[in-house]
Amino acid sequence: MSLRRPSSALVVLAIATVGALGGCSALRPMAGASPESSAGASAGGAAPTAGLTDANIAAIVVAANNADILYADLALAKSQDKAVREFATMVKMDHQSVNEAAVALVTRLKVTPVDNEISFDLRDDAETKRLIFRDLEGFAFDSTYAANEVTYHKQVLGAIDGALIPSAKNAELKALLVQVRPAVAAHLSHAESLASAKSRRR
Amino acid sequence: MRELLVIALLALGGVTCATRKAPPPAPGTRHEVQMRAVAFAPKELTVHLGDTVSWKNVDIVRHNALRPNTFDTGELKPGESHNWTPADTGTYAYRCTIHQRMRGRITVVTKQKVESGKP
Repeated sequence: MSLRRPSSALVVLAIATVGALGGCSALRPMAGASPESSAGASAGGAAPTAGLTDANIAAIVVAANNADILYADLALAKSQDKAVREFATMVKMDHQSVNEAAVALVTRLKVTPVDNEISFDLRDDAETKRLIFRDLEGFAFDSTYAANEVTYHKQVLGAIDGALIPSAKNAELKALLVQVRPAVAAHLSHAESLASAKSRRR
Repeated sequence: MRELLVIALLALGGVTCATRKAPPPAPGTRHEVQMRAVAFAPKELTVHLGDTVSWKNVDIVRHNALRPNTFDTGELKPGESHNWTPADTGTYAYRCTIHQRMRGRITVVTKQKVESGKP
């Protein structure tokens, strides 16, 4: 089997694996939420969100941003596809900006991020997916990466709408989350286009 | 009596102004285009030759505004801005090269065309 031109079965398996892992995430949409929800719609809330403090939310924001930065770094290291590289460059830059704003805010508010089940799960998921991505090349990598970006951004958007914004107590933290949402929605819309283009090519 | 006359004239002036369409801003005006929520606001803008367009990033992520061979704001961090004073009339479609769906358009006209409503 050529690494550059993997079989369709391998690509499907990789996407299914990443998708299934996404389903294990603490940010998975609530039951009943449409799996086809797009940028304009909430994918539902996160699972273990009761009692989230602002310090928990800060840790989740940083972990979520770092997860997608990690995926983007992999894409920039492995992919030769122009559209994939442009997308990865954009999401990396945007997530870095959000992290900078989040860190500046919590520093000013003297809030120390406190890890929780969701932030730990985000890191675990990111590491697991990194290992999957590491072994993929060419089209298999590009299509799996694009599919994962759709899943990831749906989950993050669902978490922002269903858990983080409703739970945030500090007005500035809530405002930051509200300000982040359009960028996440734009990423999701872009990722859906990218994944659709990749699935057509399969 | 003179005070009453002044008030009456001012009131008349107010009514007259209210019934007329607001005049376009004078040439040399600065127009702000905000980069917010991964969009340009306003998305479309008509300005006079001699006006200045100022893009201001009020978003949480970085943006730029590029029209090849015409203007390039460079990468603007949140809070940063960039000015451009058009040298020619025309319609200039532009985009943020970081966010491919973030697009805008600026139409530059002479003062007479704006006032006559025939851009």
